[in-house]
Amino acid sequence: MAETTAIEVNIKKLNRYKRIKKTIPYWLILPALLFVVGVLWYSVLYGIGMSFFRIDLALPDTPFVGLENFFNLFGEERFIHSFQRSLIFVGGSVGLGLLLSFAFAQGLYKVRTFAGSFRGLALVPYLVSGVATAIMFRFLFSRTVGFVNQFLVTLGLERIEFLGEPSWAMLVIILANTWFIVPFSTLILLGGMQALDPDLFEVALVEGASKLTILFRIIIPLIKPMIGISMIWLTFASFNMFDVVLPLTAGGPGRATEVLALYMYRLGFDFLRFSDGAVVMTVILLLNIITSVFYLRVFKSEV
Amino acid sequence: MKRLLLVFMIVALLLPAALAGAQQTVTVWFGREEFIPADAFETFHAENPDIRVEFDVIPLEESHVDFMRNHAVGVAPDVVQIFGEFLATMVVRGTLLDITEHIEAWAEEDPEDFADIYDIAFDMTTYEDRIYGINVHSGPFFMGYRKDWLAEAGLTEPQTWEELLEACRVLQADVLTGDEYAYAQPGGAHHPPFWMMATFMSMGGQFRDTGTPIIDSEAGIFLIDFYQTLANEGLQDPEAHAWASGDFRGAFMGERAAFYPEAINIYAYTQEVLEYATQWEVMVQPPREGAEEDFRVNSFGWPYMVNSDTENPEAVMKVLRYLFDPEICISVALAYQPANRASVMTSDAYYEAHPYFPILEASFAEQVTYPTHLRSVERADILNEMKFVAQQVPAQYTPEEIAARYQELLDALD
Repeated sequence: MAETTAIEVNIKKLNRYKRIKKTIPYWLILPALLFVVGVLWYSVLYGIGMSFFRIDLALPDTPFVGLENFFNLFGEERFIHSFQRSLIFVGGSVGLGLLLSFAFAQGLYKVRTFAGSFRGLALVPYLVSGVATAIMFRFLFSRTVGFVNQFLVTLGLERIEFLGEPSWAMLVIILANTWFIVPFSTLILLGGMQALDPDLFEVALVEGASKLTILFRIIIPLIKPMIGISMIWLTFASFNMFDVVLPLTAGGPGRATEVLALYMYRLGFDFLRFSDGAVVMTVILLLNIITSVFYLRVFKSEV
Repeated sequence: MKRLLLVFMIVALLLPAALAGAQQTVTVWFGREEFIPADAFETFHAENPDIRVEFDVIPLEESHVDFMRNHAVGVAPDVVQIFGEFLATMVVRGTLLDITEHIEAWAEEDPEDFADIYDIAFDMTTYEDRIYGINVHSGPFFMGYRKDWLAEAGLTEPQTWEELLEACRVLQADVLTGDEYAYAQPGGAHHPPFWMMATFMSMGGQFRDTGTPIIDSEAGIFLIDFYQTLANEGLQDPEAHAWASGDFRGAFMGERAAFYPEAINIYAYTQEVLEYATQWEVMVQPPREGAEEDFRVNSFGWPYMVNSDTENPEAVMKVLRYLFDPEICISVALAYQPANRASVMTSDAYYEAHPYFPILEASFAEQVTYPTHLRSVERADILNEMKFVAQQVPAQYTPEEIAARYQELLDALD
């Protein structure tokens, strides 16, 4: 009887130990979680809260207005215009960015000599500040002294007003943004490719598969989750992009490149309409969440 | 001996605390590093051992917002330097201290010193007849032009905007080639419409009491017509509507533009690359024909404003008067922005550093402030969009249509 009791006690102790052991990872991530909640979530939740009040530094009071700020802003022509500009900007950046990321990742995957150095170099655009990127692209695409136009003139072609024409200006900010955000998505895709078993490619080649077949039947299906993560990065980085657009075009010419992030800045820090800026922030947040969930579902691993 | 040592230790421990308690601290946010006195308040500290000045640089573009945010939680500096146009917003939010009585006391106490100061020093910081700060430095926009190119075309300095436009046409047709254009100016998106409003005011443009420009007036329609003409007759770079300030300054200094409206601090750089009086010259922006009486030299400034919560207004006034001391503000004037003091601006040192200033001197003394507005940035935003529309090629609307459309938007801000 006494032996049975001792065994039971030991089993209880063991179970307790197992239970505690299971909670250890959660204790370990708690500091990071508290940090994220404290710093990021607090700001986001506070910002969302602000969108339900009228906080305008030109007005003395800050009354609760419910969803009125949302309705007012959604009715503004400028907001709709900015929303449309953002969709074009993000669509262009994600499309071009994914293509380039994939091409660069493939290239870096194949490189054997100085592979580490090339991978390091590929990160350089991401390490350059957004403002420096903007100034560089301004120099590249200026009508009079820009490198691109000088090249066109050398070829006997007409100059293009890249920064003065609305459509061209949009293209320039897409290019600058892509240049800035592609390195990180390249690394994500490269990581996915490096995790693949090289034997798969050898077997496929022996079986007579072409390079395109290997790409579309083996590589892309196997790194689908990575493509999804890469697209999440490209999308949210583009929706949030502000530091390249402001010094590059400042939303001009006219309002041709006034994307949502820039409009949010204008509302909050120029017009001092903090609550309206918070509404745009909430819209951007929702767009990021919706697109992320969409990508994660579409690019779910099938393996 | 032990007792003496004990007393000494107690004194040594308490003295710094006692001194610190007696010393007042004045915190100042400068809008640009260049506005900080050359001696970094060393002389001030020597003359006022009971006041400690601590300063930081918060860019002018964000200083008013940061200040108001900090003010809300009681940690704003005693003095903040802002763009003058934000005065109304800051007063309405109750963030600024009315220092009218301190200024009156200064005028009474030292009338000679006070008489040396231009009116704009207080005009720009006055809202509804009360003074909230001091505008030590301001920079009206004048006009730089290529003297040699005008001479080549057989032209003299234009006396009106109509003559200037005609000179642009002649220069473009007879003298300028390739990428050279008659007129250079910044576009809309990157900057507040300071340059545009300077031109508007010289053309006789007026403002409502709220600070809203009256665009659907003769001056406003003339201004829009001027921009339409520049763009549609090819008198400015086709991409000028997308230019930042650096682009149009570069165009003049890079010998690709004949006229450029600018401020004195930029002329200092211009004379380093173009030979003054031989290649280029300055002039006051001209009046519009028939509107000479309404002509005004605009002024944009970066005044020092006083926090409504300051605990040491007397000490703050000492700091402000120090910043405005001729011997202190001349260093900033020589190296950066002009000062609103006659003794500084008419000094030999200033004439030597800025040889073109005698031409501008009389107008500089008569600056009129660009009015503040409760929604100054939204006002700027509407004006910039108006300018962009006015520069569309080919023109989509008549100047009257543009003026009517944007006046409505501007009035909606009131």
